[in-house]
Amino acid sequence: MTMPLTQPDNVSKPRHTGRWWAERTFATLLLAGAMIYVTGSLRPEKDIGMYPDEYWARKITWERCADAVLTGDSRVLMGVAPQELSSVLPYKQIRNFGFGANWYSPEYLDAVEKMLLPEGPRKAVFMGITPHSLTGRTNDVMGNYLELKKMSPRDIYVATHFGALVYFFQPMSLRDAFHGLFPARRPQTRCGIIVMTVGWRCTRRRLR
Amino acid sequence: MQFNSLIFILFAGLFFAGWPLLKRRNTTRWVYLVVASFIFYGWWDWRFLFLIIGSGLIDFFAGLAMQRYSSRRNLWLVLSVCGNVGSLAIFKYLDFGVGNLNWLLEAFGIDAQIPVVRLILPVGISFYTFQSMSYTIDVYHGLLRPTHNIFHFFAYLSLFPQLVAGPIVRAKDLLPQLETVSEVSADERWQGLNLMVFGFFKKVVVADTLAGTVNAAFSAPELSPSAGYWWIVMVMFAFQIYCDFSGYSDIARGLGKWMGYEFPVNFRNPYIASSFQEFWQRWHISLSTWFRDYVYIPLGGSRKGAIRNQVNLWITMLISGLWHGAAWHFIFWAMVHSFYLTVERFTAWPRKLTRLPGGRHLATLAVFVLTVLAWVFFRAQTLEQALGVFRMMFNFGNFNFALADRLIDNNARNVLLIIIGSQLFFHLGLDKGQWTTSRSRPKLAFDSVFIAVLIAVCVFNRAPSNIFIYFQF
Repeated sequence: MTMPLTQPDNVSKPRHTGRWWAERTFATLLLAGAMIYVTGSLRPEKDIGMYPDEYWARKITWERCADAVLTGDSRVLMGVAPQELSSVLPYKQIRNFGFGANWYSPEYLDAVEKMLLPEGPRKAVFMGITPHSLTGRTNDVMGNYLELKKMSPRDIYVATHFGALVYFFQPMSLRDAFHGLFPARRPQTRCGIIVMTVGWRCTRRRLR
Repeated sequence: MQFNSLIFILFAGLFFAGWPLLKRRNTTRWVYLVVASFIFYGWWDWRFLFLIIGSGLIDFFAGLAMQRYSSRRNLWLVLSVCGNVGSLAIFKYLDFGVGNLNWLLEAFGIDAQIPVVRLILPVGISFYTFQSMSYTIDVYHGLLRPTHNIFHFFAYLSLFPQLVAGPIVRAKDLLPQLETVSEVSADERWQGLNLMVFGFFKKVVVADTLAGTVNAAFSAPELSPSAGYWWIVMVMFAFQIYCDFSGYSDIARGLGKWMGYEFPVNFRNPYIASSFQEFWQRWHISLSTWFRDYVYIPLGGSRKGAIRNQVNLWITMLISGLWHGAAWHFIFWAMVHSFYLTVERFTAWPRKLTRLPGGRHLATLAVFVLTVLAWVFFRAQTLEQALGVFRMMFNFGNFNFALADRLIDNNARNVLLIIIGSQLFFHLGLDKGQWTTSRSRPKLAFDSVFIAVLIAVCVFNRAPSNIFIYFQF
């Protein structure tokens, strides 16, 4: 005798007949979801402009986008504004390609070269040299170019297209959560960062 | 695909959405499992799927041949073992062998360097190779009837939760489970969730946080001269590797429970063991029992006298060391543990110590400290580095806790204190207390909130992601 098609193979009888949505596992997952939402909402507001991961993901993939490139480490990243330079220099597209920690590695110089527009009438690379930018020891510092360059294409895609989601789920210190819960306890002034599409991270002090 | 990645969460969501529908018929279920498992593994590098398929086909047909041509069972077994050990030899041990041969040639003054091949080590090759071998060995011994359905076999061999880092599930335990499917009860779902949440917590919060400090210590250009620092780092590594590996096993077991399958327990709080024999009954149980059943007992086990027993033990442990990695420091790690077991066997020191007042605690502490010392060989990148770390650890003139304090990250220190606290909880038997085993409503509610908080902690207090350590074995 053949088995009817609807009869499953060797399926034992269910041991639980309650409603699945009323059970403990589901209730716990719901509670966890609520906690994640509340905790994520406590995060201090993001930098003005792009989300941090989106900013770095876009920056390390820049190619053929500038006729002048500002290079170096945090001094350049935070200190040199492309907009200001373009008002006094004869370049139309100036990009700040500085990183929090950086040195002039061959990989970095290759990336700088690739950023230059091939058809431009004049091209320039400005080098902001500090003692640290000449030593490979900056590879050990978080946020250096070579470390960021290791982002996989998948991570770059996610950071570029789902920046808000990535930011929401980023690890958070207890202090950040505490300040989110009690904004009045925040320090009187704190540093705000404005992330520019041209690569400059402008810092300014602002009241809480 | 790693468990601690966004893509795995999506993959698992899709898999479990389809599972209730597709699990009902045998062939559909096996095909679904094979396809999902191949996607899971191929996400890392699809080319190595051919290696699993090749290795699996050899064992599948060897199993069938053993049944059909039973007079030549030995031949089929040899073919299967050669196929499996051969793939391990090529991908894992070739460069190690060539390196040692070159060293020997140089030592004898022969100027003929053999070039190393530098093949990529396929993720989890040691796990699935051993799992595959257990199938043919069990069929050979008549413990298992070979399956005639190739999807049934590959569903066993490549089942994604435990494919790349165990637990190593025997064919005789898993193949029959895959022939049926039971409806998952609410209790099993809850246990599965618990296992997964604790597994993720161990990996992304504990192991990954400790990894930052441990990796920094071992990758520094010069070893820090503080003995205090190195003792803390090595204790951190002991818990890092435990949480990393047992976390993976817990997640695998939890996923298995949600699918309706039971995988063996792989770790039972190994650091509360009060002897080395007990330690190995608690650490990576599926591998220890594999070696016991397929290497130690066939060699004669303990049936051929005390000396032969020790020889068999050393052989088994050395192969286990090589299983972990093709490098001398892994072999030394295995030798140190063999030495511990031999000394324990002849002196019975843990039993004598536990008879003293407070002796059980002392024995546990002694086993833990000696295990930490053995881990130095396991973690070091070279034998020279391991010896350097030993020099620093026993440099008692310079404990310099201030330096240790400066070098060790605050989060890592906090996590270490939490994990030590949890080990004391189990060591003192508090997990068997009235409250912890209670099924009262307040306790159930407390458990739910606790698990929910742990999930949130895994999301927001996770450390930068590291690959699971045992993926490289």
